[in-house]
Amino acid sequence: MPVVAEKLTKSFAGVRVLDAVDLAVDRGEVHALLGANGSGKSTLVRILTGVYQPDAGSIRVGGRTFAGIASPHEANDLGIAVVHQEAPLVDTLTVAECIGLFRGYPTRAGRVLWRRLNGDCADLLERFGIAVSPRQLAGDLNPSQRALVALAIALDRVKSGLELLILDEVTASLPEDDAAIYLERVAAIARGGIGVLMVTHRLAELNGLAATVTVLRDGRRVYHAPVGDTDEEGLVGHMVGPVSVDRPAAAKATAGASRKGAVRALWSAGATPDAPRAAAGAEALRVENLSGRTIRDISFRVGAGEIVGVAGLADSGVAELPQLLAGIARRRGGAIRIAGGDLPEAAGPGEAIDLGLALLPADRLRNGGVATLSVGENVILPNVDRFWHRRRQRGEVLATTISVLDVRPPRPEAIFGRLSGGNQQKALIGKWLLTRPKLFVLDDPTSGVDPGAREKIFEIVHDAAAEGVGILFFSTEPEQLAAMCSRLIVLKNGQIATELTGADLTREMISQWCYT
Amino acid sequence: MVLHMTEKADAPTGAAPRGRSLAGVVLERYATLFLLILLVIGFSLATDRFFTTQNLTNLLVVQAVISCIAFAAIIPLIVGEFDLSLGNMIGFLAMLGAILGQAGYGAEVVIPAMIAGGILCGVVNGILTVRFQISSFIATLGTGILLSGFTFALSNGQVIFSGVPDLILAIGQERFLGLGIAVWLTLVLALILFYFTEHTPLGLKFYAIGGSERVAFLAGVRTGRLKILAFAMAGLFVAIGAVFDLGQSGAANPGFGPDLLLPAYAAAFLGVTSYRPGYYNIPGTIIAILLLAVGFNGLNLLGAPFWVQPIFNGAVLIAAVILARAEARHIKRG
Repeated sequence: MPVVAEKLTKSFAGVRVLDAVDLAVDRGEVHALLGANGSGKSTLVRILTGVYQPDAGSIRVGGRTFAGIASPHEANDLGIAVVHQEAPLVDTLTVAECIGLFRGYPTRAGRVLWRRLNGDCADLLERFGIAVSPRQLAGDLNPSQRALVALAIALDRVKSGLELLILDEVTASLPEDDAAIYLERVAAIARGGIGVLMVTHRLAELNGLAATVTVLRDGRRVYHAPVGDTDEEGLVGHMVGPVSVDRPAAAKATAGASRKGAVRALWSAGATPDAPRAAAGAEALRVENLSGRTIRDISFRVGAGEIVGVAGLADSGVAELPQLLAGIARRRGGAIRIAGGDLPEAAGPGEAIDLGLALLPADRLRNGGVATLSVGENVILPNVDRFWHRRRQRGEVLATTISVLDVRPPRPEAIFGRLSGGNQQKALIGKWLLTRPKLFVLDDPTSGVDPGAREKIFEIVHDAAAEGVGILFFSTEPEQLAAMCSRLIVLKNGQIATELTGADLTREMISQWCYT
Repeated sequence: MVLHMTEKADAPTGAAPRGRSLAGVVLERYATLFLLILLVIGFSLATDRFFTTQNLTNLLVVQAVISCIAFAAIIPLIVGEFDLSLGNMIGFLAMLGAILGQAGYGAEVVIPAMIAGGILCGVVNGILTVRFQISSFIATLGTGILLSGFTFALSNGQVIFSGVPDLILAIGQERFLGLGIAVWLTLVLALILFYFTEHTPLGLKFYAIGGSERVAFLAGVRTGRLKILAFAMAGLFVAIGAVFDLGQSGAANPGFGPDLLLPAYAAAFLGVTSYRPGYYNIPGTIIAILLLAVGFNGLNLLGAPFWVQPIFNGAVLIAAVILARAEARHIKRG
């Protein structure tokens, strides 16, 4: 009996994230669910797994119809299993001990029956054809084994009558070879008569595996057909939607025309000596044959005043590249020149900053600011030596930074950790611009940032570029990249898949290149 | 560091309206100071032996050594590390000085040797923590035990009481303007440390490392080197404390030292509750040391039995930390 969702609707704070979405997963089929970030996929998965309850619509499972699933526990009871991207494993425990955390440990008189636990787990793993010993340490498993054990744990939580297995971007963090092994197991489970709903970003995975595909966009189902009715390009077209010609161009124009001189004001505050503006055509960054863990032999350059975007899926090397440039991760070969200065292989962040690099890291909570210190102390941290014995200048610089970037509350003594995400990010951008970088690397600067702060951030980035700062802009949002950048590099499997400029630099092209 | 004076007494910040009165804030920030003043007044009224020049100057002299150990505890705490070897280290350094003195060396050799020994111990602690990635809690526990062994080896288990150089005795026992020289030197050290932690770039970097080592590293701060420096500074302060102790007692006892460790940490933690609540800070620590000292001294004069002392210290520490928790919560993220 298929699992059928009908007219599921869900709103958060008045914003409709799912709008009358239909979905039917037949027994024995793998059904792919596609959609760009913010399309409503995650919300749909959370409704099916009992995390959220829909505002309207119904879910039919095992012949019964429900208005919603009350809890993840109830979803398990109904026969719905879900596997998430992160395997729920404790590295220091054995596989059997990890599985026991979820299913409970067999005991007699308070003593754990280790033999029985290991035996039960061996049976469980064998039932799903997973070649892992229960006595192995979870930390020693390779990525595909980890994912498979996570799968076994998820399936084990459904005690009887498995109806639907949901894979929530499970393969996103797996190398391609590992993903293939994993998907083979998934196909075998489906052949056993179970419906599988697979959320993925990798369209290539659908071939020969998925029977049906559903595409969500802006909370609506925009496409639904057997796999093979359309090619990958067609699917991407459905994911990104019809071309909206004027939006990126308009954004570019308004950003360009915004208040000029904000960055200059920042730099001249506190009367720090005026450094000569980078000459047009000067080089902010040159990368030659750079290799790392994922990145393989890439070369590119960023000119002074240029805004170059970088796009790619999570495993393409977009996460590693900023770390290599900033001296955080060790490179395996190649050369990095920042504003004409060579960054030695053994250099750390200090050397990169001295050469003129500034990195706004992606994980703001962990890598961005010191939550317990004040905004002023955070902003001044990379520049602190410059302002010793210059209290007045330091005060001026902080006041200017806060007003130019519109940080609220506008007080340097406010504790950083108490600010909203957008205001934290603006303060951090101020912190790095104060170092007068030649190259500013922004890694997903708008994640978790409110729309008002986003506009401010775009404006400042354009202004910095106008002052001659080379910008390397990483983002997961194609619209943003299309609107911000004059040139864009697409990474795939650690290599540069293509470079887009001019009329080719559209969100459709970016998505096309990323997903296919 | 310079701006927090206004921060706490200011109107509520945008993110979390606090709605507390100014008086409440002041009371929270300086609860230990008020308690100290209250105790001084109370003891002065209760016994006429408390508020005398003689008693007060004696009270301060005794605090010079423990203050040095508390300062030595605070610097690693600011960068987010523990140094548990401080107690055994002061015993070792005092013994080192006594042995050198007994061998006939003058202060010009003994003092530099003790200071160099302290810094060396600190650097070793730092390297074990930073380069070998051993948790500082374990690494310094290990070096502390090691040092106690060296102390016994140097002294062969004997108390060394001859040959302490005159200059060291003078530092420990002479007075200047009514206060012991060791007290004056401790005050100077406290002022330097206050300036260092609150008003220098290095001080801010130390606090940043303690707040988030990762963020400080990404900002170009050489976190590893600065952590080693923090341990080395701790070693230096212990060495200064060892000089004071050797001068005050005129002898080195191989069992001396470990008993100072926990009171020093108690003072450091109690110090977090005042002046700059939520952060290890020098003024707060000094208030804490004085509070514990006045409590000890006053209760003694009133004839309280010997076991009242640890009960008083423990109760004050716990009560002050509970009182300051409300403030500390505001500093935690969100």
